[in-house]
Amino acid sequence: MKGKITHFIREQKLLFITLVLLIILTAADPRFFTIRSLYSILDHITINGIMAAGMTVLLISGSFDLSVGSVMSFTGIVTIMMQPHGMLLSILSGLIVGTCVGALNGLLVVKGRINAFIVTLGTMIIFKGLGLAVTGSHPVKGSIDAYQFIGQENILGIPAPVFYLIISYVIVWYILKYTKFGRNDYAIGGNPLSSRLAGINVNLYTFFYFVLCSFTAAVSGVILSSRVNTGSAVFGDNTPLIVIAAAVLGGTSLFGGKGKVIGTLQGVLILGLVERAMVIFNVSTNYQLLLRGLIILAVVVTDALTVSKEKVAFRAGET
Amino acid sequence: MNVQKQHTSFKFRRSLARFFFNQAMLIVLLVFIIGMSLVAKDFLTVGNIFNIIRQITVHGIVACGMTIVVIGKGMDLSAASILALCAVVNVMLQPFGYLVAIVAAVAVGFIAGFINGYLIGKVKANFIIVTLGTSIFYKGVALIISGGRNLKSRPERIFHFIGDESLFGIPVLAYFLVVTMVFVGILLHKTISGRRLYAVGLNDRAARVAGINVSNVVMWSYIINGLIISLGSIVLTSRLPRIRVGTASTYLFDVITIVVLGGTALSGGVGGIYKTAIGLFIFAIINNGMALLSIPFEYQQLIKGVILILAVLYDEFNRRKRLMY
Repeated sequence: MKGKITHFIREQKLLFITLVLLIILTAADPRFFTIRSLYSILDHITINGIMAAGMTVLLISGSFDLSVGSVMSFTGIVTIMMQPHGMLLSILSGLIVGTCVGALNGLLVVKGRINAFIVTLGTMIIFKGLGLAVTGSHPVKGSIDAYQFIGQENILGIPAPVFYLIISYVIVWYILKYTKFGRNDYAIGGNPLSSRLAGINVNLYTFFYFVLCSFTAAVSGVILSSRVNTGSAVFGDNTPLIVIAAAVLGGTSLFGGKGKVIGTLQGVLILGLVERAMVIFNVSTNYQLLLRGLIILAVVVTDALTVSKEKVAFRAGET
Repeated sequence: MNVQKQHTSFKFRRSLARFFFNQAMLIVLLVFIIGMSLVAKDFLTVGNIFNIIRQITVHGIVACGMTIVVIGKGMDLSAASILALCAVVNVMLQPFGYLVAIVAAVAVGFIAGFINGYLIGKVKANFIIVTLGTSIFYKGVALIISGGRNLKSRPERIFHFIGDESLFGIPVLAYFLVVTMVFVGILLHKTISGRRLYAVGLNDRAARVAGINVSNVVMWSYIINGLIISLGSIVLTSRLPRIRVGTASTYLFDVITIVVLGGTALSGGVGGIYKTAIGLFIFAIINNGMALLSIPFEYQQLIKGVILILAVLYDEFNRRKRLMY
């Protein structure tokens, strides 16, 4: 019985952290516990959240993408700058450009056989530079008013981004759970070699995981540029950190083969709550950095410790 | 006779090809040097070369530490933050005398490296996430103790000496770079610990079976990296009159580019200080060349990114070719 309870706590530790955070926040600020502030938090985490969903898929396959922040800002810039040619065309071109970066990443990793870390580091620098060059280092303002509705409109009293967040998580959850595309993801991350021997086209799938990850970044870029009605190359400098941290917090392994998109959602939510808590408690930005670093470290360490315990238990069972 | 002649010519061709593919980056460096001296007249002057050395000393020193970590199949994404933290500590303690400042900076480098090394080597957490986390953490600490301000450096004469003066006609900075490189080179290639590091980087399981204490080797690679970065921070504070935490943050990607440009593989166990030196000079020439040709900053970033990817592609292409000969 006792083992079951500790097991449950270990499995649902994110839920407990969320609850504790909620209690602390409510105690600190009674106005916090309202449906409106919940919406505002969800609204706030949408941009990182959507990217984190795509990143989860990529991390499960054992790869890595540092370029999501640059893709996000570059998509925003392209979308805003294409607005004179019509809204639909501008959004479409933004999404296509963003997704093409993913295709480039995937191609270099799969065909060039370069480490994903280096490839995405390179594309991150390239597209940040390209964004700066295209805009001349100045933010560009949007010219279509209707465009702002994408990120700022309320639907049935709920901010529209909340819907995007829910829709994207449902889609990714469905893909991972019920499609071949998703199951192969776990297989490739678990063991690329045996997946290939089992007849999975590892290269093709890896390529599409990169494309998917960049596509989510492009979608986030459109939402972000619509929220602030601006495109700027300085957006998203810390984004890859936060996104990857959220996925890891949610239990996705950086070694591949393990992870759930629901966990990532919880991770994003926890990071969002922590951010809100730091605002409520009036923590200065420098201490916010420190705390964020500590949270990531704490997550990694507990993860590593539980993994090694599992391994010990596994070995004990073996002999 | 004819057969033998063919044989020797084949052997010659093979050794030529081998040399070409092994020393590919050296050839790239030479091409860059020749190209730059043709394009920019001021390039091959003593003044400009000293200028290049001044610009890249800190990069070079930090890259030495990064090389050690990368050979051990790791990566230190917190290098720039450690550099900033050590520099801030160094500058803030300078009123208590230069010795205190230097010792404190080295101690901070040691501690920062130890935290990284302990979490990666002993706790066995993933190095990317650990160093991402510590990079945010150290940056936060540096911002808190400096208050995010511009700090004025160099009240002491010794820092002025390190940063600006020359010894025997060569900038003092160059000696720092050379000594660090020689030290790391000896450590990597002439000591047992160095050989162990290569073994761990190539195959950590095999290394463990062979009786190497893998977690210790990994931990010490990060500690030495931290110590080398603290040396870099002393040079940085000597060279620049004002230090801000933001000053150091650009170093990370540059340093990774240098290490990768040289041909040290991120998969571990391959590389060396000689390669990093070549990478450093290629990087320096690109940087200097872009400044001489007055290319705008935004495009400089873009070009650096493209060069990073092309270099790695080229390296990978070479590795495949090399296997054929």
